[in-house]
Amino acid sequence: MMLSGIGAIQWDAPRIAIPAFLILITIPLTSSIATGLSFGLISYAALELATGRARRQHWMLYLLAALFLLRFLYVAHT
Amino acid sequence: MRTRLERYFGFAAHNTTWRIEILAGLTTFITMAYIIFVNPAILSVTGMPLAAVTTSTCLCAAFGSILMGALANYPLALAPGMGLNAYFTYTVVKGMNVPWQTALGAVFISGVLFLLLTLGGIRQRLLAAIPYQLHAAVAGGIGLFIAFIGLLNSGLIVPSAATTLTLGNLHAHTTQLAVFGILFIAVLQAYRVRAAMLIGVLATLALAILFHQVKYTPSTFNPMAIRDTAFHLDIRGALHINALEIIFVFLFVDLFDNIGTLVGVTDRAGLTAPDHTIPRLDRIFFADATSTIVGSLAGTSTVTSYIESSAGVAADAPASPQSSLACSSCWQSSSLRSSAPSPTSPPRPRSSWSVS
Repeated sequence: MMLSGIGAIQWDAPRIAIPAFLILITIPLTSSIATGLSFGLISYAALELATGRARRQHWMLYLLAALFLLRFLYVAHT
Repeated sequence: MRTRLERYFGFAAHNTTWRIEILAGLTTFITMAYIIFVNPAILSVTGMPLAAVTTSTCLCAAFGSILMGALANYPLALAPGMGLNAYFTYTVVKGMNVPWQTALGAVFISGVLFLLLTLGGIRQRLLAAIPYQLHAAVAGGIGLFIAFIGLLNSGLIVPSAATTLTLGNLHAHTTQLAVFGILFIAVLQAYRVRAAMLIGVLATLALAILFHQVKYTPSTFNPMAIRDTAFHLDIRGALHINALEIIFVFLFVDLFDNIGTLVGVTDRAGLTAPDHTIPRLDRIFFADATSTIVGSLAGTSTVTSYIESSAGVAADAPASPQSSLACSSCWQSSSLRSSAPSPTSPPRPRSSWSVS
């Protein structure tokens, strides 16, 4: 039901499959949707940058990914 | 009146009926009703009076959910968020020795910041920045998360020193009841019974009562007890203490939990537009932000969208009177508690397992 949508994820495209998998596994294991989303967006942005697709995405994505990264680095463990 | 409501909530466009909506609303209510007991239990550790927090929990959940349904027409139920209440209690009040009044002030400020971010259109842009291909993954992650919580609550999965988690005691009556509930719901769903989850939960509850697994402890609450927490917040204090980090955590978690829940639930409910945007987004955010502000005034930690809303959606309802319904029941239970005996510590057979 909540999982039925994941069939539509492009599992054969690593630049989507890897962030999607990270979101799926880290939401329950960190008990936080926000944290899971952070892992997904950071990895997604990193993969877009590394594969030279950076310009296809909105700059907001990179800003968000950078903010998430800063949060992990600088906000004390809660 | 009835047809007017049907037109307002777009019954025809969403291909839905009163029966479907009421079933879905009840399903969401039952899945998230635990918050009525759990939230006050956690927050009262700070020294906030239990009766007052119970009342404010119910009232804010009712206020938020009705606002979400009536204003935004989305099946999202709101209540004081789990996780944020623990952060409020154990990290802010216990850990940093901040008085609860000041912590409520920080919640208030974070609520006002949401509202400003919403009115400035920033939250809408944040959401648009999340690639739509990842929306389904968020929905799936939420499904796994709820399943995990359900498995833990039922004792089917328990903590273990050696492997972190392990299988629970299958000889205990509570876990056996949970297994029965899961199987029973699965069978009903295989037969495509619409109210599968609701029937499954109620049947499990009936069985639990039969086997004396549910204890009734009568407790009387006067809803007026809310006076002990309402308007006790200390905003000036929250600005004075080194509160930037606290406000940031409240803001961050609520913002992205909310966005995640929104993306997940609307993706599943088929409410996203063909271009992968979510209609009436500003109204959803407005309802959420307002509820957090009202929550801090009444006396509870950050109010946010509940992932349990997905139980109602999975129970097959795309429109939203159910969200209003989910919490008018919450409202009722708040007034009922003033006189009626209230059930405490039931084995909580959560319907959510089957959601995933």
